[in-house]
Amino acid sequence: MKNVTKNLFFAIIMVFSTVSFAQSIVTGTTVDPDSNLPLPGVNIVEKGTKNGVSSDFDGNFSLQTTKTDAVIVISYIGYLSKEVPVSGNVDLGKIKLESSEFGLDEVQIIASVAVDRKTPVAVSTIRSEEIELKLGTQEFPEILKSTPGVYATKSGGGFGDGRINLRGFESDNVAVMINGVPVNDMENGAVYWSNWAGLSDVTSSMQVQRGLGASKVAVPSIGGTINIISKTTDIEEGGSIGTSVANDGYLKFGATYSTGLMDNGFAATVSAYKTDGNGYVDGTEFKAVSYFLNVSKQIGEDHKLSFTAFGATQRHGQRQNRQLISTYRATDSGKRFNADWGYKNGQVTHQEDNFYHKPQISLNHYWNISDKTTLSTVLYASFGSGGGGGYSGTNKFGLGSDGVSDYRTGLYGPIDFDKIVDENEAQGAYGSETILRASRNDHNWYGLLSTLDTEIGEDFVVIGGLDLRTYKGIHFSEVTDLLGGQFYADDADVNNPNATYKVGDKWSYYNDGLVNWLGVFGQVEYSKDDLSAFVSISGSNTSYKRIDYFNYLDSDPDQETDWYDFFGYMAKGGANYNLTDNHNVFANIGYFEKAAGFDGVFIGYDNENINPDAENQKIFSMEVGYGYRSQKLTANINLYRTTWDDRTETYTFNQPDGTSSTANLLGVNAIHQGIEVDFTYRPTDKLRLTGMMSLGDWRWDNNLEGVEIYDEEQDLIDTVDLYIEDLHVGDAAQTTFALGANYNIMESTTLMLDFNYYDNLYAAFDPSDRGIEGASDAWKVPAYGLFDLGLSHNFDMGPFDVRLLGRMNNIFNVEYVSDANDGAGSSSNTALVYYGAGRTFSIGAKLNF
Amino acid sequence: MKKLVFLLVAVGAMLTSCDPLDDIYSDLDSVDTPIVGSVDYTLVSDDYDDLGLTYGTFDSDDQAKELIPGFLSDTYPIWGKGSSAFVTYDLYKSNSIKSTTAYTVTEDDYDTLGFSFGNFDSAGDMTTLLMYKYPDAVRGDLVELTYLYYASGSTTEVTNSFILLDSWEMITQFTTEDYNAMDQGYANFSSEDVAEYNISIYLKTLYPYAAAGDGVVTMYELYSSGDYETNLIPYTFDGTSWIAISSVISSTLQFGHDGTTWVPDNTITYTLVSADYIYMGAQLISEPGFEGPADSMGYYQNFDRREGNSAYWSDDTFDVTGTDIPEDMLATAMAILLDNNDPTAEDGQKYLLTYDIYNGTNTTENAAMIKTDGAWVRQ
Repeated sequence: MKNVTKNLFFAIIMVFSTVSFAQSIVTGTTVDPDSNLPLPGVNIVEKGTKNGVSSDFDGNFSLQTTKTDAVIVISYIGYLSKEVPVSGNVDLGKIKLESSEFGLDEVQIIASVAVDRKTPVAVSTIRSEEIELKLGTQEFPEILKSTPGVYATKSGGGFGDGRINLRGFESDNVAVMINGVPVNDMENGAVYWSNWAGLSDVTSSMQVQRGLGASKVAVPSIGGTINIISKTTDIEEGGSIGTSVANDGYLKFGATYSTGLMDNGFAATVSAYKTDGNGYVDGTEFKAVSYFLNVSKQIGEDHKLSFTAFGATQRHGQRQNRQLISTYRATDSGKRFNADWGYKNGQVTHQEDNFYHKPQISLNHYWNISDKTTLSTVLYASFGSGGGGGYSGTNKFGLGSDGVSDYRTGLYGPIDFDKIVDENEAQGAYGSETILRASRNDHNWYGLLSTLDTEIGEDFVVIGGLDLRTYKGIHFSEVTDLLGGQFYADDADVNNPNATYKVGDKWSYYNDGLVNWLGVFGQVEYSKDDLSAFVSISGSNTSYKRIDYFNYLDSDPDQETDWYDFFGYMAKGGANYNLTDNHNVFANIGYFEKAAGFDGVFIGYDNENINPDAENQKIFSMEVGYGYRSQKLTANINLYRTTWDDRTETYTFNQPDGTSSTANLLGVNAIHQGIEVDFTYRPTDKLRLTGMMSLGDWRWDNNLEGVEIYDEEQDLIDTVDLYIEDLHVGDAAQTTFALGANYNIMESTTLMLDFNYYDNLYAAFDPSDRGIEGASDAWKVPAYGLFDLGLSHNFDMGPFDVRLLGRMNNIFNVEYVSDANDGAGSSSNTALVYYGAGRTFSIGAKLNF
Repeated sequence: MKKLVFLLVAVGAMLTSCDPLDDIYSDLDSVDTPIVGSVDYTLVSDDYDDLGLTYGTFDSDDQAKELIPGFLSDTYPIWGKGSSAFVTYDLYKSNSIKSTTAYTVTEDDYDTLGFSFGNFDSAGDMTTLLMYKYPDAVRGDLVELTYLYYASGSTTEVTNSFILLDSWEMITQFTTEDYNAMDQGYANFSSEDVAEYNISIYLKTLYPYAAAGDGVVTMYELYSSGDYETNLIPYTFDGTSWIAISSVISSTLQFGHDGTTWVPDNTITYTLVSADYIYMGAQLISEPGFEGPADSMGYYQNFDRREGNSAYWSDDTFDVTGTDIPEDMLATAMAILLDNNDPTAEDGQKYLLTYDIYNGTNTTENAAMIKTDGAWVRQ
């Protein structure tokens, strides 16, 4: 009875307690700090309890607290947690979360990351969360394959051999910046993605700015700018351990750890991953180790220092040689077929491979000079070391007639290196007939990028800066395997004629390409109410110098050339107007001149045939766009037109005195225009649909007819004709579209299905080679569509928050040609192609703590 | 929601239902890709039996050309166009006497044939007569010819026997003294083996200054089982010894598969070696229009086949523009090579050349050449 009374008493107390303390209701809306858009899925928890809710997809939440006076903790992955004390019923209104990464806002300014509904350019942004879900074992650029204007493939299929074209332009016309630092090759502008193996693991966001882009520094953004922001360091302590396995022996594992911002102002993040596997394509075995280090320190109120070093050392077998479709068809391996590998002494040996290590090191300094003025400076260096392997000497690597070769095991079989070794051994004191070598492309690159940003009045921001770079490219061929012979003899080095070479020796060629870059830029931004606008100008002087250690005697003054200067500049502007909270329109226009590349100045790899008057390439671009933002639907549409005039085109001929000379041919022009649409639609809390359509019309503009070349004595040397008018630009699908669905089956389980379709892909060809009238378009590669599937599941396991992720790409194992070079007659019979990968899969687990 | 996913799948399936490369594959499959084989084969006795040749030999090359294609089709049923076979077979060339005629050359004969002195005076003259007189003669026909022959300042009437084998040959006959010298008691041999051997020794005495390649047709009497038989043995001098020429000759014919059947063919298949590219490059380096391509070939030891490239080797004779003068540059180079490598080839000789090319990748192409009117042209 006594117990009953006691229980009853407690029950009554409890009932009354609830009534007396639990009447407060806290409401609010969580929004993304960049876009000001609702941020769904944010956790709202009453501190010290398990009482919590998530914001719905309009960002709204409503939490009934257990006490009238409570502290509300608002947290979301990738953002800093926020604690808000509340008392009684309260509406917190819009709650903006700050990024949890130290210095991320500052680096986004250096990198000119575009802001939605403000920066007037066409952009697509992919954040680390989505990269993690979508990448699997794909090449890094393939993350962008579902965004407009993009054609990304694995090229030959080797690890890191991916490529991306933007609005039909190749990598030398697409600016790639990592944390605001331009990484296009200083000599030829190309981007080698294998230099950046492992970058995907430490990428915070990847933004494609199509067309002119928002970059303030002069970059070759004819097609667009790919703006990669690496992780910096987390303000909160934690880390992760991850591993994944995938098709063809793929295994990746590694860990990340962040100290969090410590009392002494330091914060550090380290990350390392190891990846290896056999590759989907035959003979593309690979090994890679990637690393990332960031140390940041807050110094007083106004200074932040951030030191970042990252890179990956990798070696992978390549599929270098494209083959005819009929050849793939005749082989047992089919789309996996690769002719460029074999066995030596029982070990897989690559005729063609690639190895590279390029640590990218930077020290960033952010200084809040005043409330209105900041100075951001990056001092950076990168040291590239590596190159591409191949053979020299007698070519014993052909596939032979119908796949039968004395130097291959079986029909279209792997290379029999042992036979080559036997023959080299028999050569004795004559040295190897056939060797493996690497074409090394090392470099040392130092740069400084400094941006001063100051607000003038309420509405104006003025930005000015410096972009200094000095670069030395070191080019040589290196003997990597004598294949059983005693040495390799070669007489290319005039300073060492009749030389014999061993493994590790430089032979055949050895020269340096020196590039200095001096750039200045300035920008004025206006922003008031619903209008924002900018005007930007920049100028850059590129200086080239060439040193050739093999073609010229050490005593010959020609061994080292003078410096040759080329000036390029850019002027662009644009405006965005937000019509309502839902609608915005923007437009931009710009013109720039881009200096010729190193090869357009030093023609034919010598120091005498110099083209000091290499013509600038001229780019004019304009674009208009419209955006729609609502809680359920986000959509963009834009139209663009880019004219690319005077593509570098040179003609070499002999002067009467026997010296060679170069004429610059003007008028090789292209017009790239098109329409791009993309949208995200959230019909329900659980479902997100994405879509994209990109229709390009990219063509060479005009023929060059009867261009007469005269020598110094005004004698007609030649008449040049190029017949390219209206030919479609090759090497990138002009029509692409994508549809995707992202469905939360359960609260912690998401299913993703994506479809990508590519059409109007013409085989690659060089317009300089189109000298015959009436030539037709390059071969049109058959259109193809691919489905990808993904599934992610999160659960708690002890102290870990675990994510399991499974992916299957090309689930129907569609056989398709992804890359083609045009052949005689522009037909499927003569095109040399790479096949895209068939069905692949990966399964990974990541433990966050 | 499910409807949307289905819609997505349906749209995708519609676009991917046909494999992108199906059309190209069916085009590829519609082109026959025959199995190409190559064989050296020597017929064995069972093969002759199958061909109904009970003696194990062919009677003539024509017979071999007629019968061997059927044999090859039966033996290599899966091989197709481009296949080649070198077939070695036994050919029976009878050395026996089929008929004997005696003839005395008349004055009219001398006149008609332009022997204005009414006699012969060199070994070939008798052949001229025999060819004129017996145009339809066949192998084994023997003529005992009586004619006037001028030598050493005097004209004498002589009688010699001539036999048509591969050509008309004068027969060396033996006197009793000769037989005696060949260790025979009578004017005959009683064993074929002994005859062949002893005559070969004796010929050295008869022709002490014979040169390698000289030939003699001998005739002897064989006495065997109570019968006399007249036999012939042709000999050829190899520089050391006189060698009897067997009546069974081992011969080889080349056949090629033309897609339907095997046909006699003389095609030589040849894969170019480094020295060939260097030779062609050197020959063409200063030829207008060939400078760049020849330089590239000498350096890379292959043909640049990237159309439009400055080092491009054209195989096109189709003039598109009317301004340039395209030519089959490849055939030009190959002709130069063949003239160097096989200068003595006869008209009708065919070559199938395999050469390295670069068209963005390293591979090979083939060219079929034939010598016509003394020049190599593309077949």
